[in-house]
Amino acid sequence: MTAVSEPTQPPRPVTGRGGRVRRSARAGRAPGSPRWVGLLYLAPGVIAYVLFVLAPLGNNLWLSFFNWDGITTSTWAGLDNYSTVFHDSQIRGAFYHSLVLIFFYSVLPVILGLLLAATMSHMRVRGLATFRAILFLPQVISTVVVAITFQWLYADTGPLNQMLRAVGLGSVARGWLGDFDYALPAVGLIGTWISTGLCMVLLMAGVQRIPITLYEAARVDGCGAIREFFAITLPGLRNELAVVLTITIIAALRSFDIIYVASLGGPGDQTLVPSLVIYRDAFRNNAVGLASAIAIVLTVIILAVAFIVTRLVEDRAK
Amino acid sequence: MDHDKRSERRGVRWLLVVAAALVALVAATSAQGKSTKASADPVTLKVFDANNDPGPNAEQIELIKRFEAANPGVTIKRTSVPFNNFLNTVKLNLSSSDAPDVSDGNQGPQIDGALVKGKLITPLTDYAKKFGWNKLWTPTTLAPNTFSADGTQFGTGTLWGVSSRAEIVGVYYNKTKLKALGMGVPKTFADFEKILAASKAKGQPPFMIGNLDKYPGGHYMMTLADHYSSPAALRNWVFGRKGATFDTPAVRKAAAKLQQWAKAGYFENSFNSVKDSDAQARFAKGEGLFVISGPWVNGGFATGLKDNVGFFLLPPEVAGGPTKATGSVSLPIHISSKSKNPEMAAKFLNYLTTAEAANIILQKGDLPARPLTNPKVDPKSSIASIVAAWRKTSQSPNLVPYMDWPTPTMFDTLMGGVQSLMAGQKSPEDFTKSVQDDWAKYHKG
Repeated sequence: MTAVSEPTQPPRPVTGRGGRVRRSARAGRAPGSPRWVGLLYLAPGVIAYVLFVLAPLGNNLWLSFFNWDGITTSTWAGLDNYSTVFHDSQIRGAFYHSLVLIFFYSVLPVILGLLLAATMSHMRVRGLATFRAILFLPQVISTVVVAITFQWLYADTGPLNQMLRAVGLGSVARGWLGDFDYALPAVGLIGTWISTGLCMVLLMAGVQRIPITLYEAARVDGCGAIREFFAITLPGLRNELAVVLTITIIAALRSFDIIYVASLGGPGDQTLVPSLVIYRDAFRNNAVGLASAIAIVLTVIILAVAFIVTRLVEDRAK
Repeated sequence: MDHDKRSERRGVRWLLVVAAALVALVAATSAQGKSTKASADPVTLKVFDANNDPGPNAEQIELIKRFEAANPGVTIKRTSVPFNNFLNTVKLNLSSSDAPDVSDGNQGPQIDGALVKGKLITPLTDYAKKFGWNKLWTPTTLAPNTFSADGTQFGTGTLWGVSSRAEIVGVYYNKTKLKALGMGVPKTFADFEKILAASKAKGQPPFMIGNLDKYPGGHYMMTLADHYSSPAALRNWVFGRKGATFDTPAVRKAAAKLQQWAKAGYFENSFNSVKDSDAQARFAKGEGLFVISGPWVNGGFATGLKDNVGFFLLPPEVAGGPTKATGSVSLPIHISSKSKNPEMAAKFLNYLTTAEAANIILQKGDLPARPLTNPKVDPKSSIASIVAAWRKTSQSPNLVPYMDWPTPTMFDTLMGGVQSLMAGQKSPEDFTKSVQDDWAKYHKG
């Protein structure tokens, strides 16, 4: 309490603690309670976030209640746009396709990544860094380049079909992106190719964090590789899995670039996804309100999925 | 204290320097203003277009150069973007405060209708009278560039745009291959189908198509729809006239024919997975017998095949009957309602329709909108046949506008539908019905 002394008294030798107490006393607050000036440090981030994320999002929500062609005066639409989103078979189909894509963009890469990570967990691989860099490469290449490359790989006369024909599977060969049954899986596999490297790198980093002693203990207890995987590797990777699943599921739900370049949503509407519909309706088809409504629904779905995944998978005991 | 005073004095000195500089600057700019006024009125026209492919780009550069030379003091600042980006940006561009004076648009409610509704472009009625555009083309040919004043009725009312080029969809053929089959240019539709069958019998699918890009198949569908239907009925449908429908026996017959061609193997396997650019390149190298498409592919074909590529319109049912075709004047060129120099802009528009401009367009392998009686081209070339086909059809009632125009979503509905139809995923009845549903949703009441 001596710290709260008259200013006329000669200054005491300043210690860190003494100084802080004195200042807080001058502001008339109890020691230890938050200082509002701290919020100033947050200001740059908060302002940028409000300006570039929250404001556009709010604006988008507002637009979704209107019929607007992008130029002339808009008219109030109420919930009409949302009703269209849920009743239009084409838009519903687009959402369904993006659910299918979750399997290819997320589930499959995570399984592959886990397999690789589990294998690496007990092997000493020579040239691991090179191997990792090669598998990570798809993440680095522009998706437009990837999509165009796959257009040729998948073409009727492309390498994939040449290979099939060479081994006598000519009857299976087809133009994959133009096939009504296989176009969506074909596009999905491009996503698998891109995401696998990311999953592997993150999961491998996780594996290296698991104490080696656990594996030794498991081996002493007579665990086989499979038992070991489920008892140690998988639980040890919970947090990494949450991250990887969230990132890749979001990528699946909002996929745009690959499909926009590779198949334009075709053949028919077989590979149409919500982002493509949003783009089309907002910029071309004079339906900014409807596009905004789809965008809002998509955002809500993405938030919900991300929330559920982190809740289910992430280890909250830590 | 001393320190403060010194900095104050320094401040005053800086102020003086800045003031002097400002005075000098003002003097300089006013002097410059006077000197240029003395020679000619400088006008800068900002032009926004979609002539981004090599041919049209070269021709636009040449046309602008000539126009500038003929009109001293006029500078044209041109921005050009690929067509796909163009569709996405043109409305934003014209509604910005920095709008171009002259801009391309696109027929139909998707772009032009929105521009008219938003009052972003100027009506050209007076200029049409002044420059005689009404005499150059028939009302049928000009219709795609018209809209009612409120932007709701397409193909009627006020003229809003002029086009420098034109498009007509017909059959490109490889001359040597047709000769090898022992056949000539068909005179009737039955003859045409005989050639298709003969080519297939020799193990060669007659048509070369790359339908991964969705729209190429649309041109086959439109051409067949023209063949079986009355042009007036289709035109009414495209322009959104009350009671018009796509779901007619005639169009269903056309859709069934296209599906039958696909089932008969007249297109190569997995045509829906071939890129349009690849298919074009292969035809230009001598693969395939026929391509149904418009003048925009002619340049590539003529470069590759030289005189070996020919062009004809799909022949009529009976020899000598009316040849019908899908086609139109190309992208309408508009004057922005914000332009400060509409007179000069109109003069530029008119220049693009002159015989001089038409021949420049022709030299670059493109089809000018102005019907030319004596085109300066090699009569053996495909472009000569295209010019003749355009002159004949554009002065008859048999020119049918593009069927992806009637609603903002029709391009996707129609082209996606044709992909499904050709792959046998949709029956002709379902196809025409789904197209008509899109139409009815937009043209309510």
